[in-house]
Amino acid sequence: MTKDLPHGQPDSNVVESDEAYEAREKAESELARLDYYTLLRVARDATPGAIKAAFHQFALKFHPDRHHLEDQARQSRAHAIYRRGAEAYRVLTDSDRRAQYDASLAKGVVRLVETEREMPKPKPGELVIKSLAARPFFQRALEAMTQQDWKTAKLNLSIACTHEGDNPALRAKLTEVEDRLKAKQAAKP
Amino acid sequence: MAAPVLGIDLGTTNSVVAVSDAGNTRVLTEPESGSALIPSVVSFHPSGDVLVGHGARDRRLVDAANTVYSIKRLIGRPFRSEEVRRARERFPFELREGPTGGALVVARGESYTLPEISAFVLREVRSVAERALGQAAVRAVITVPANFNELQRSATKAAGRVAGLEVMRILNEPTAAALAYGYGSGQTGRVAIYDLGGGTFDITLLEMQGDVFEVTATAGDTFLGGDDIDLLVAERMADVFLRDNRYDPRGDRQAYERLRAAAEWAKCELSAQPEVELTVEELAYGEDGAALNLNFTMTRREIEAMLTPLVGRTFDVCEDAMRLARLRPAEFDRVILVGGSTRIPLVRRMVQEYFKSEPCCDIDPDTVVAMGAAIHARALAGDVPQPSAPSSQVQVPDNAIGKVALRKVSAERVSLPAGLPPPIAEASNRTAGGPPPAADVVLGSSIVVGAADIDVDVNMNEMLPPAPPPPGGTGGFDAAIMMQQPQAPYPSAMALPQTRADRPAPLLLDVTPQSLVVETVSGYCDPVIRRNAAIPVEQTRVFSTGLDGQESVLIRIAQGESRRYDECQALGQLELHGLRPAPRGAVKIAVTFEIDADGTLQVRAEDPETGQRQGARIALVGGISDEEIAMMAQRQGQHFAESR
Repeated sequence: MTKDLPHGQPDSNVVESDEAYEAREKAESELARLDYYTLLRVARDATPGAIKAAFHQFALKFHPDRHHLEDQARQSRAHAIYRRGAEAYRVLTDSDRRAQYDASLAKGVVRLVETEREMPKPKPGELVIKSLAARPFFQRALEAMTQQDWKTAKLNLSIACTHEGDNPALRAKLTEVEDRLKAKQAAKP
Repeated sequence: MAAPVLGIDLGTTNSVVAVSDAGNTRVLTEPESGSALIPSVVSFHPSGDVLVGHGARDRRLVDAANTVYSIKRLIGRPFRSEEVRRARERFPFELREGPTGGALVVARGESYTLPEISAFVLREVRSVAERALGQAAVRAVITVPANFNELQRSATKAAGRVAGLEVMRILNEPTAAALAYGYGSGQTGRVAIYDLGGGTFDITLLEMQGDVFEVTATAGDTFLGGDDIDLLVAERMADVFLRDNRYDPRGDRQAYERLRAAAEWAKCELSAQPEVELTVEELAYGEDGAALNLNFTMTRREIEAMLTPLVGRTFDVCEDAMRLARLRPAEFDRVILVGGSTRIPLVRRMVQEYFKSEPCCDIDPDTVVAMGAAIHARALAGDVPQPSAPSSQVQVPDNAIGKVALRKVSAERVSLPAGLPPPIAEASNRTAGGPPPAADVVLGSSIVVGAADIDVDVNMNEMLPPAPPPPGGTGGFDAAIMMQQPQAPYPSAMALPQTRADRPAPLLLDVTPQSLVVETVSGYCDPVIRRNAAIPVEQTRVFSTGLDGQESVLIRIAQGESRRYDECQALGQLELHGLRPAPRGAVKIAVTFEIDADGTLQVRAEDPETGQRQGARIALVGGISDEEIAMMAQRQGQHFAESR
């Protein structure tokens, strides 16, 4: 996708309030030492049916829909508790993951967290634009270049350079486009 | 009556609105016509008026190019998607690409975003509701097909906002239907919801346990529905006309539109009659100017032969859901039919064959979704007692209950560890105004409990047992679970099966229909939140900078099940900005992706090293900003003010 996407979805960008943030942090620190069985109040050898029933009771108590009319701190706290319970339910009702969890619990690890991965490094030779301001102009320049519209490409690259002038790769691209434009103009009688 | 909260089924073909109040749940009808179905059609009249509903539907036959319908099939889809490409071939109105990659409808020289078109429908729906109720209504729950992705859900929400509604929840249609059938019945069992509407097919498998409705799997095809049946029949009509008159009506958009309307009528008639005969007059004119009519007959046997492959496709989708839930079709206690297309006898027969049980359609399949949405809307508005709150009257329509004779759960389904005491006596003696709070029974005296036992302020350390119970379960946990089964006695305050009042609010545990993925190296992607995860759900991923002094990170996100990014539906990109200057790799950002109860995506980001909250936003394909929503709402307000 090479489209410029200037508009965010408003609901995706709601900033957590300080109050909610603190309540969540507090709940999470309290939850940190609770294992999944304790959280859902089931025995370690509970059957899947028993885990399901226990989760339903848990959900009736902590599901966000049960708290959405309350103040933000309480909502946030309930939400944090619910999320952890849902995580417990997800792991304990999947026999493979439950076995994995039981093994790590024996070593004292109370959460089964999937391995966190790092963001890919840029592909070799790929031009990476660091600032968001420069990015859309760079994208437009790339589109123009594929259509051999060197003039538009030059304009957009110049603007991109004003936002990120210290990027040598970007400068090189601009020089390349300028050369192409010159060559094209020279070819004309 | 307090401010009403609407349940809106924003359908491909028709929309329906219902409301639930102290007395019951009812579908609201247009006071003038008495009609419950509001056609989801918007027509831009030469006079500048915008017609919506029945008036607009009639315009399809005379002004096809400016009459917009079935927009739900396209909402939230990028202009460059296969679906929009196919729609451009067959829809008589013009579509073009918008600035953020979404599709725009062009009518009478003006372009409209798809949420804006849907908003016209929602305004009409709201107006019908307000006229029927005699009071203003602003809050609403709007339903969408279970298989809708992030873009489609967000666009539907935006439509609600453009229409001036406060959208309390985007709810899945099958889940709403399950609520309409099951809420208040207090029964337990496995339910399959087979939802074949005008444009989409969804299968949702869920388990009902009292007031908890837990979706275990969902799958769908957002391009399979009644519209496709109409097209098959219209094609047949066009062939007949071509054979009889050596003229192909497919070349004339207006004529083809009339064939589609005739096809839809024939389809509906054939659900009730063995044969249908119709004439479409003056479909075209011959060389001498003489009118050419279409004379067409079709038998039910013929239409069924045409439909069998199409209906067969729905069972491929069902198989997908069965695999996810690890269940077989015969393991369901009930199959519920939703959507107008399930009126077709062939569909009912094939469903019965597949599930080996007779499907249930006691509630009108056209209105059941809106009714379920209304029940949930009322629960969200806080009018229904939460388990610990004082109760008020709640009723489910009489036709919804009693007939849903689900199998009661049997004791064998919950296996008790050996040596457990029988269910604790004091639990059944509880008379607080709520269901048995089993957890508190387990805790015994370690925590103060009472009517207000839902209390998230209580310290977690106090609320939970200090140590995990030893294996073998002597802690009475499973005894507590036994107490939660429906056959266990409820406290006397809850025992009111005759009046069915004092029902606590239902709790819906829904799932996300598609995996959320982020792009990784060389065109592959990494799932962050897997398909079928119970929502709300969140997962955290750590990203790091790839360049020295990098100020921002852009991460492409998509939804889908393929390992290749390009084969998934691109949602847009996640932008992390304002990173602290540091050598590459030194800055790590933990991004938490959350799918909330609406099924929509939210993110928050944090620098795990400094604990600093980080700026993060998602730019969706076809996304609309708050300002644009306000502008559209204003433009629409003017249209409506002028035409009324």
